[in-house]
Amino acid sequence: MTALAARVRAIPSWQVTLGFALLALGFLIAAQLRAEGPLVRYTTQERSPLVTTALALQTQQEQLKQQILDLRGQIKGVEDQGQGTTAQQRELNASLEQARIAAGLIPLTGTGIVFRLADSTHPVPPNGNPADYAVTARDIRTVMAELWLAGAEAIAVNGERVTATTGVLDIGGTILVNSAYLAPPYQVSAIGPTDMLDQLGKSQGWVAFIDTRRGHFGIDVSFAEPPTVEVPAFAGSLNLRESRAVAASPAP
Amino acid sequence: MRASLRDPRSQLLVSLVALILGVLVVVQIRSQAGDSGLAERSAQDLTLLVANLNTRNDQLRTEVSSLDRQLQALEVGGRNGTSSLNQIRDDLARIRAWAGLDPVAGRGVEITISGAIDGLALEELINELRNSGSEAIAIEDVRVVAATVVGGGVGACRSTTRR
Repeated sequence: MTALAARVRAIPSWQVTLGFALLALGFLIAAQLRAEGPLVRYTTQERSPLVTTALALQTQQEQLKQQILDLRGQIKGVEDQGQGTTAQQRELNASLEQARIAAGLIPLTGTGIVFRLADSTHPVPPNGNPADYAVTARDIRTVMAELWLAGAEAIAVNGERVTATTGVLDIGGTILVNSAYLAPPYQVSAIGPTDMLDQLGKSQGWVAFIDTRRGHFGIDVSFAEPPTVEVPAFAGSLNLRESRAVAASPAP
Repeated sequence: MRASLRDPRSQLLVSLVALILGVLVVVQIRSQAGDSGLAERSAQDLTLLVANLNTRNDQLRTEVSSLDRQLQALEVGGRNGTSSLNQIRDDLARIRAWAGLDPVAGRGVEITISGAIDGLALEELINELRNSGSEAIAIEDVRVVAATVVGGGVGACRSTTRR
């Protein structure tokens, strides 16, 4: 026994370090091989090409959105150049600025609140529905609705600005906002008055949401009130192919 | 002779192990974050997702072309010294119509619900209309904008828009 202890003590420390490093190496190689395994299998089931396509389309979408933001910035720059030439043009530019703010085409910053929603870590009971333990489009829409009622002026979900045409869609556990794929966790940023949290606490809908989704199913709902909240501009299409303006009916 | 860390061969070995370890850690982290959980989705869900992304990208390309044309027209107007007021007016009208600040008319659907429906179901319907590409929505005579919230129980639906 003492001979064994003496032999252990005689092992140089660098060999011990190397031993641990090799152990970690072996663990990582095993983890990597396990992670690679299903992907190879998916290739034969035509799932990997779909993942690759979805990721490529998502990258394209990011580039197109950036192009749109750049072009809108340039257009605004050209339109603003004429500012000050005539009173009519000044008025028009001021109206344009207001309309852009109302439409969500301008990034905003101000006081507000940021909610973070993540899937539950609770084990799903044998007779439970796994979908109840994940963040759904309905959850995102409930948070958005409660924030509007609490006085929010602008909202974005994972950087996607919420506009008059924004839909929030569930596709098999994946959430799309403005048809953009969002990866969890979901961050709902809202600009609004400093008492938004108090207003939420007074809302029956909000209390019921927290009780059910967080209390019962364990959905992770946390929030932060940073000094300033940033909500980006809507980087999408102002799709008006079918609509035409009509004169507003005169007030009675 | 006992090996020591001062031995260049030992140093080389340790460096090699550290290098492989570093590469594997990075690969592992990237492979975890890379597909954002997409690999776990079914082929059917992924097909739907790809279709949605395709449609959105087509709309974005159309928007890029439209904005490109608008920018060129504004620049040409500016260079020629011609008034760009009409172009700015057109831009203003388009943005106001899209944001729900001005009334619009056009091809579409009118849905009449005569059965029992609560605010939650009505909100689902509006969300579905938005996901289907609707350009403008109204409930009764109330235009639905970003901040419109629909709620209430059966027979007592209400829409609220805070401005």
